[in-house]
Amino acid sequence: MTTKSLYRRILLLAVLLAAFVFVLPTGAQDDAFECPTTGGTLITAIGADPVSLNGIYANDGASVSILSYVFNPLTLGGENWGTQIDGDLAESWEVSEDGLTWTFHLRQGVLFHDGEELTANDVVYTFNTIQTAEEDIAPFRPRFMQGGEPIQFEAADDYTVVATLTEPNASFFTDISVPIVPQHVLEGQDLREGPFNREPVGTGPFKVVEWSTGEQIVLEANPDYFRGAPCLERIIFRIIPDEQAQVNALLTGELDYLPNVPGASLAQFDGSPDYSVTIADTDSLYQMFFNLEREQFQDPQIRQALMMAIDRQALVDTVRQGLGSVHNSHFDSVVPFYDQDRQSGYDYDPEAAGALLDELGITDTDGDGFRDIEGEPWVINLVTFTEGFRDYLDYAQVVQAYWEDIGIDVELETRDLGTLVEQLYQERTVDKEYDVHTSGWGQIGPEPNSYANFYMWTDDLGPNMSNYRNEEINSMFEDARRLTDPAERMAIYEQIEAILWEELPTIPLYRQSQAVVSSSRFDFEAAELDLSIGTNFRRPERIFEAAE
Amino acid sequence: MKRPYPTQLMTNFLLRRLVQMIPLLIGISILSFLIVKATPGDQTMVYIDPNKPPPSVEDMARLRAQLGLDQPLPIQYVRWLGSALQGDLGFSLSGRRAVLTEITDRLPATFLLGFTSLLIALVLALPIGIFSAVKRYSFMDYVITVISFIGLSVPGFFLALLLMQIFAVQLRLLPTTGMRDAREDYEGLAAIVDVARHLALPAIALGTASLARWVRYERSSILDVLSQDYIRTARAKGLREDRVLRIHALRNALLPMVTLIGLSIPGLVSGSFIIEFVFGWPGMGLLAVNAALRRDFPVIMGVTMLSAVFIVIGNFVADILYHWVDPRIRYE
Amino acid sequence: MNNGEGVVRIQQNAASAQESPWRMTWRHFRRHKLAFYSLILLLFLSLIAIFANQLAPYDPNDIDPRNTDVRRGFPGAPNVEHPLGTDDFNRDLLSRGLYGLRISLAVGSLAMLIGISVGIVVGAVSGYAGGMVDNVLMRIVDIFLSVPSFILFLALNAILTPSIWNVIFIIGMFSWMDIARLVRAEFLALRERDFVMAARAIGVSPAEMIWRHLLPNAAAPIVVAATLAIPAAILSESALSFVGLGVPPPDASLGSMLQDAKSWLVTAWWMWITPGVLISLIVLAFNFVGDGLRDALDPMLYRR
Repeated sequence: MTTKSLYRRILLLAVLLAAFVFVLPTGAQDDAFECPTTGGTLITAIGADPVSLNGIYANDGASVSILSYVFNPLTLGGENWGTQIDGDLAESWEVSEDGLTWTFHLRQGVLFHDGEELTANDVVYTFNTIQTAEEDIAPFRPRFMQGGEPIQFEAADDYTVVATLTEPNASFFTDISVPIVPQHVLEGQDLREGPFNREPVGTGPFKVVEWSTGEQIVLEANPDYFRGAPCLERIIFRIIPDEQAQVNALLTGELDYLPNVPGASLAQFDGSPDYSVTIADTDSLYQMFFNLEREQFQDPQIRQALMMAIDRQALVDTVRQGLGSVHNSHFDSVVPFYDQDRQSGYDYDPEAAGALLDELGITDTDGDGFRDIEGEPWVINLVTFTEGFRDYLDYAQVVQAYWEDIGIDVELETRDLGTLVEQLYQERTVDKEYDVHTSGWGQIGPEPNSYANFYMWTDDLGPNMSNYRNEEINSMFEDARRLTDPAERMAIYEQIEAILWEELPTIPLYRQSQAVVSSSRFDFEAAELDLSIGTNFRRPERIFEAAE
Repeated sequence: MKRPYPTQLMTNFLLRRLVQMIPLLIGISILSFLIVKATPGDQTMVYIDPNKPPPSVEDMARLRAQLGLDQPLPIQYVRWLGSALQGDLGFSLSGRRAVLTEITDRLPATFLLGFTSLLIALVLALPIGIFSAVKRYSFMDYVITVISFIGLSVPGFFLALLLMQIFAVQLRLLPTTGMRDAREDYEGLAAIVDVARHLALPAIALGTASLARWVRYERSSILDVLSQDYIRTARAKGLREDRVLRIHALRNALLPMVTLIGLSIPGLVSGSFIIEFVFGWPGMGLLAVNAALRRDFPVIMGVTMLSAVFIVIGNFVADILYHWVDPRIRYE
Repeated sequence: MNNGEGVVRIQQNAASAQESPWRMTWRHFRRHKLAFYSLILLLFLSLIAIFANQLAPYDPNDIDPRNTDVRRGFPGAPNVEHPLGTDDFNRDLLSRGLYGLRISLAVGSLAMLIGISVGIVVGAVSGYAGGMVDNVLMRIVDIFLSVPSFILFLALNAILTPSIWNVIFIIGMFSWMDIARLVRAEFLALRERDFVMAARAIGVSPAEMIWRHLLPNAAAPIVVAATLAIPAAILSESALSFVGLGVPPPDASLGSMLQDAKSWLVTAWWMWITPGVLISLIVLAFNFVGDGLRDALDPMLYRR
């Protein structure tokens, strides 16, 4: 061919290539979503002011609700970041053969709310701050440490972050699921007292424009959001401490959305055309914890008897008006191997429970109507939270009733949150002051290793409140963490699950469901409801107000 | 009856009381400090969510050291006192702001609510009390008694929810919660009306709670006065009934009113937690209780001392008013 | 005749020598119909509260665990088996109401006794003695008013296990200040009256002064205060249960029963009717009794 036509060919090729590059969506850019309408304000409520809106420090419920709109994490699937294990700011990633080197490739062109671009330096800065900063406590710090030392993070270039581990850790991907903060804003500020706590800057679909303490927090759409400009213009969080007042405000239209309407009030919304009601399962688990240092609970059969004495379904009905499910594992329902029907054997059977206790010699020897152990009256000191903190007090009373029904003297003791935190959750002693305690957790995530802390014995104790010591379980957790093959790992976790179910260091009772009620004016379909995420939605930018 | 000018005795009394305020407030601060420290849990509990794995031991210890919580108690107190006297009330760990800012942020809302409810109670209690005393045992007296007791006869939170249910949810006359509308940004007169509409229910709930008490004391005290000697003397002299009532009875009937107003002044600053909680009113009551539950020590001390100042001054002013209203009351 | 009430009282007593002051007070009280019937009502309520054990058809905390027919989690409307209905834990509301009545009346009366005793003593001494004593006592009042009582209660509950006695103690210990100030105000005014000066001139001792001469004349506001203090204490307990510091569950006072009824205001009216009506009755009854007592104790009212 002629030179001219050759050049033309090359030019054509170049143009096609260019078109290909620019038109084809880059790897993780999802299917583009067209907002049917734009504008509008969604008003919801939280029960108290957030403690802080600094993504890397704030861990309380109110904070998490809001900062999930404001920040993005590198990876998803960790605590408060949903049930999908995927990248968020990380577009792609690789792990080395030996499992020690993780490489993350960031999306490009992601902008912070102040217009600066997100780079690998911000990611490294975020992680390093969590690991080392002294002015504040990062609740996630332990997840970024290995063997007492901080994990090495490096920015290989503007969009590549490399992490070097000292030993393989399969849960590493979700462990680092924390909001990424801008280095250029946060650096040089006092983390504890600086303005970032109240005026955060992130990459998320919404940004904070107003925080009027005790009244409301106003978020405005971030038009440069990397997944597309949000359909809504504003989201407002009103601060309404009283649950009934929140329900009332939803009834009058002062609120548009509430993610946890109590079962008692649901009837007022169900069936009404002005509201849409969705019952959604949650990643949560409510249990009874035994103080395994106490002699009376040494024998697992006693614990089993106590579990059989409880009608767990009736408990869920009583406490949550049925908004929940009986839970049959020591891991949350979002782990890959959870099976509602796999484990059983503790169905409600007060007769059998009583018989088991009789067999063990725990009978009423002094005729006072309650069982005794070795001639001494057996009193279980059941410690729970005072009114208002989740449903603990409610289900504690129900459990008390069931145990008393099979002849056990239960003393219910309520203590306020601060006192309990100091006495039970902070105290690093083996000798804790309680017999049985109501406790639980939520939004821990699909990574089974995240639950290890609750059942593993370590010298500095920690979340293993029961002081459950089982060498086998300890080493199984550690093995599973080091393996890389998911099938192998899950097999080990299933074994752990079975052992825990047999031994019952704790009694899993139920996980809660939530009644999500919203005004019919808004469409949440495309936003994908997921109560494990702080925002409650995988794609909060896709919420829109339906046209009149 | 002319009011005598303050005698030398009175001036001495005033000066002495003013001077005594300082050690009194210091004493209150020490006692409050000790009470807070005696409670299990400290500021660092804000980092612990019972439903999540807690931070490590070292981190908590380090934070405690930074906050000075590992120091002996007297040193902690002196440090707090030193800063406080210079106007620095400390930093709130649960609010991430200076304590002073937290307080000044909430104070106007509480004051507004407290003042309005005081006004409601005052404006209603006087005529109701007088009527009740004069038309004693009449049918209207009973009716009024029952009505004035609606506020007092059920717990505050229940009354608040009832009012909210009736006027906000069922009748849609008033908003349920908050101080301002969320959707609209009102300005000027519209803004005032907006706040007034939000203020109505909480103020009524708060006001009617004290209304009954005021009415009863008012009635009692007027009855007391009506039967006094000099009233009978005045009647015997032939003065007109209502003149008698107005001039003599009212003056002396003001005495319990003065006490009650004096007793209510600190409430203007400390707020009512329950009403604020139910109506989502961003006031000092909520701040104080949340701080207590979160063991936010600087906030607790700040709020307590603010309250204490008002209580001490309030009682001082009430004592002066006693003397002004009834000059026969003398202090030595 | 114009020397003040003290002299008049003596005259009165001399004139009706057969009738003791108590009899006379009672007679005057009975004239106040509403007060009289309120007293009857209160006696009746106290009686059923005392015999709650015998009267209650069920254990107030019994959720009837083995019963699988009941709809768990939702209050049951009044029916034959449960005339006042059941709460969301399936507990009988009639039984709970009876026990709640007992607990509320107990808390109310005992807390009132503490508060009134301390309050009268402090107020009387302060008002009569005046000077330095008055000053010190009033500063103590300031202290009690200022210290964070909520936190003190949290501390108390943490150190001793939460119990109804903590509740009674705390309510009592933080309610005496108002009474003290009122009593003091009365005494400050009374102190300057002629009959007091006369008695002092005669050489009557301070204790006798307070007990026999001043207190009876200050009786009216004290009586009003005492009768309002009981319902006030009951309501304080309810406020405390709002923050989780009231009578420890599963026992319930009328106040905490109302608290439980919060979520069911519209959907299960029977949950708040029982405690609501009972509390209102108690408050109104005490008020009328207080009115009646006050009027009956005031000798001047019946001279006309």
